[in-house]
Amino acid sequence: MKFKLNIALAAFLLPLGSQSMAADAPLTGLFKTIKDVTISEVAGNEMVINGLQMTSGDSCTLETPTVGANWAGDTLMLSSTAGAATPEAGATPYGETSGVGCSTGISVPGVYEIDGASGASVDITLANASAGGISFVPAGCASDYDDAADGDLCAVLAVGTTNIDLATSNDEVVSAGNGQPEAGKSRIALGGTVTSTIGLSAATAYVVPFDIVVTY
Amino acid sequence: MQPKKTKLALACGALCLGVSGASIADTFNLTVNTIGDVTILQEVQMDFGENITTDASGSCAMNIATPPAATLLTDTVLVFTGTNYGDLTGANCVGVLGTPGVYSITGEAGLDVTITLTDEVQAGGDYTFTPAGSAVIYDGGALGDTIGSLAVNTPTASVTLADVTGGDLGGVIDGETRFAVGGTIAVGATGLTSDTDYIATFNVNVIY
Repeated sequence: MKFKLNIALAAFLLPLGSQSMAADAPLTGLFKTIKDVTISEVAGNEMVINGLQMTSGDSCTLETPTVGANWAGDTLMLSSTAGAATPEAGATPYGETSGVGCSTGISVPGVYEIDGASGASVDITLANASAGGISFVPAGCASDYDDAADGDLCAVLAVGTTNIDLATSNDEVVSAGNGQPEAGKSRIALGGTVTSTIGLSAATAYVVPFDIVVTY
Repeated sequence: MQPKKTKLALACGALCLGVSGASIADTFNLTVNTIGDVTILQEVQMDFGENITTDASGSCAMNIATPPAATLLTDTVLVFTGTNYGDLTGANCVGVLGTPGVYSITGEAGLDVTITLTDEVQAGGDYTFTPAGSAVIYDGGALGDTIGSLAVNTPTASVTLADVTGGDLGGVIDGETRFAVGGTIAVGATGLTSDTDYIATFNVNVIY
C-alpha cells in the first residue's frame, strides 16, 4: 500500500515539470486623444476702444476686466464665482477707459472663447502688438475652473503665459444666479493699453491685430 | 486412507509453487491527478482616458509601480501603498490620472508561475505601447507579500500564487495572484488624430 502511494505522488507531480499548464491572453487597453484646442471671438464682443484723441506718445487704457473691477459678468464669462465678492451680473459701467489719450465714452472689452478637452490645463500666452503707429499691451483675465460646483476664478492675464484649467462637467453644477460653465470651455476678457507714436487722424478707425496663443 | 491421500496432494501443491519460481499477478489502479489549468482574467481594463495629445514624437506613461493593497488583494499594505498609482506623466499627457489595468491569475495555491508581458505591434495608428506590470508575490503567510516587477518581453519567474491555508490574508482568493498594468504610449513622427479612441494591445503569458 505504501509503495502504491509513492507511485501516485510521482505521477501527480509530473505535469509541473512538463510546463504544459499555461495560459496566453491578448489584452487591450484604451486611450483617447483630446480634441484640438481652439479660440474664437464671442459674437458682439470684438474689442473696440472708442474716443481716442491722441498725439504722439499718448496712451489710453481700456480697463482690465478682473473679478474685482470692470467684471464682464458670470454669464458672459461662463463662470460661477458664487461666494466671491464679484457682481455676478457684471460691472456697471463696463468698458471704461482712462488716460490722456482717451476722451469720454464707453468701449468694448474683447471676449474670447477657448474650446478644448474637459478639465484640460492650458497655457494662454499674450504678447505685445503694434500696427500703423499704435502699440497695444493686452491685459485681462480668463475663467479658471475648480472641477467643482461654484468657486470658479478669473486668472489674471498679462503679457506672458498664464495657466488655467478648462471646465469639467462638475463645474456645470452651479448656484442660482450665476453663469453656466460648459465642460471643455473657458472665456477670456481683455482690455489693455494703446499708445500712439503718431498723431491720429480724426474720425478714423485703426486696427491693431494681436495674438492669443492657447496650448495644452 | 482416502482422506489422508488428499491432504498430501494439497501440501505438495503448495510446496511446488514455492520452489518453482512461478508468479502470481494482479492488477492495481494508479490515479493521476493533474493540476488545474492556469487562467488569466481581466478585472479592470487599462484606460489612459481622454488624456492624450495628438503631438508627434512624444509620450505619456502611466505609473503602476506600487499598486494599492486593496486592489491587488494583498495584506501587505506597507509595500502595496498605492503611491502615485495611475499617475500620468509625459509631454503627451494633459490629465494627471489614468486607470491601470488589473488582471488575476488563477492556479494551484502556493505554486510559482512565470509571467511574460509582451508588447505588440499597434494596428490603430502611429504609436507604440510598452506595457509595465507589477504583480503580487504571496509569501504563504501574513504581511510578507512582495511586489514582482514584470519585465517586458522577458519571463518573470517565481511569482507565487496565494495560499490562504498557509496564511495569506487581505481578501485574496486561494490560488490567485493579481497584477496591475500601465506603461508608456509613445507617439510617432506622424502624430495622432484629435478626439479619437485608440486601443493599446499587449499580451500576457503565464506558465507553471
